[in-house]
Amino acid sequence: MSRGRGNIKDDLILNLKVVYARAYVRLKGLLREPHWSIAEVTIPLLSLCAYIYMYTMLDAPIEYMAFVIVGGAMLAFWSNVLWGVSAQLYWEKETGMLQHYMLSPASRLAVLLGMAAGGALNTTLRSISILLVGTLLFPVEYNLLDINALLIVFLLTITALYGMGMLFASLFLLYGREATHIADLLQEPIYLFSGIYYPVLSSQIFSQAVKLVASIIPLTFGIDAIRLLLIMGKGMEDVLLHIVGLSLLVAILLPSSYIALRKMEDVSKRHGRLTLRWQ
Amino acid sequence: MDREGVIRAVVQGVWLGWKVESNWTNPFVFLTYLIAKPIASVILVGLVFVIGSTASSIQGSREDLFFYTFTGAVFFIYPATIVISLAYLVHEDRAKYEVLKHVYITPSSIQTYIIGRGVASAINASVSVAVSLLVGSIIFSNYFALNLPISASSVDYLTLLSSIPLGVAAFISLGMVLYSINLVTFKLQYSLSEYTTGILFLLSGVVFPPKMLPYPISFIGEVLPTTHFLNVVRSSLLGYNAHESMAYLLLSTILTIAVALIFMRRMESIARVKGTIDRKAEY
Repeated sequence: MSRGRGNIKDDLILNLKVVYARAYVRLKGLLREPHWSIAEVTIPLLSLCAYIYMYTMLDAPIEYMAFVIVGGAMLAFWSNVLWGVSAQLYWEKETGMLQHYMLSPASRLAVLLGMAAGGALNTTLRSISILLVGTLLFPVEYNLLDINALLIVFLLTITALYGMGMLFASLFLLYGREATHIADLLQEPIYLFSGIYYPVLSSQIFSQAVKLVASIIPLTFGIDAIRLLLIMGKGMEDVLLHIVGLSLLVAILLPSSYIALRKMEDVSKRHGRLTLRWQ
Repeated sequence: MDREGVIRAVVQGVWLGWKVESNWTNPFVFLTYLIAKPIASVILVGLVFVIGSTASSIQGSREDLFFYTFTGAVFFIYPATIVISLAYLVHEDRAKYEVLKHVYITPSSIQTYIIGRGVASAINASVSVAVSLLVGSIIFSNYFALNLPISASSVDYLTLLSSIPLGVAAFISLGMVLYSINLVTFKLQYSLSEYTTGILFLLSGVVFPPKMLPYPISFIGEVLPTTHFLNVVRSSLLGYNAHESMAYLLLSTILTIAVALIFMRRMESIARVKGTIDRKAEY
């Protein structure tokens, strides 16, 4: 069926409105449930403090404190990607909202993009709060020389991360009760490989094979590059490999999430799982 | 309720807890879930140790410090698993499956049901602890030359084995406190459990001695049952005299149980007045 220019324009406007509406929920949630926002800043700080004390006990160089704080700040994004984007379609199914999305003329991708955009924005605020509080609590020093490189790396990391979240959201569409357990299972192993509390890519401890596996996670490239730029005073030329890696991940993850969403929606409809709760 | 009835209610709680925690998937995936997450946590702590100690070039007490952090991370699985499981109980049973009101109108006490659910989590945690201890010690011994100074012949098995039910009793009581808070509130279950495990992880001497913390925060760490539980476990694994730590563990467990029972009774009466026991909306 051919579509006129007016139809495409209407579709675009509709889907942009959907992106805005879904992102708005995330931002409104900051004010409606302020204790969640406080918890999402305070809770990562507790484990962050524990690892800083552990490095202090080991008499590690002072930059390791800053490594932990930067890792802890970026951890907020992974939590949001996991629980706020990946598991979101599962929550929508549990609360009976998913069927309304399916009945509406809006693109499901626009719904996911809205969740991702809103989530990224409010998590950036939380992440900055973690960084600020961590910096106030411990005697850390930063050495930022190339702010443009930092912004490029940060934006690429966030785009790749939320692309991964959107891909997982499609997969989670098929899940029942296992969704929360799978999301739970994707926490500690990801912390382990992505180097939330220690350097991975620039460390001699890990083999090339481990580094290669860890590079599949956008957080690994992102945290490593941000630490190099923000703490070690490096410049764009030192993080070129990270930028290439993150760009590749963006190029793979975003189209994959679109394809997976269409596929999983089709499978869910065939298996009658879109409205099935508590299974 | 007679003793037989209490035992039956606890056993039913364990059975139901086991079903809820495990029947969302096939046994292979569940076993993977049960061991992958704690192993990852333990290896993460071990790697922080390896990287931190390599960067600082400490030599003398390296294995002793590794023993301290490694065993802390492994045995912290007990409080983390039990507390999280009981903190989610109200959300699961009240809002999700809507069975909490049915539990309340049975002749059994809700406490026996909670104890049963807590024991089910403790059994799962025991599997995670055993596998993490084994896998973690193999990895760090083979790849990083970090051997645990534990000799099978010198372990004080009696103290070690008696510390576990004592610790589990304290952690179930802590879980009861969280259950009670969740009963009169809503939407707090995730943050409450994460706050509690985060605070316990920071203050209980899991990966560093609590005396490193500034006073009076260090004092809070010294009175927590988790701190004494980990002290007893470490001492008994090394075959040291753990009588003093054991006495503190016993005392802190009795105190936690007393506080939990009083607090729970108070919160339950508030819940009955406010009508929150059968509240449906959580989302």
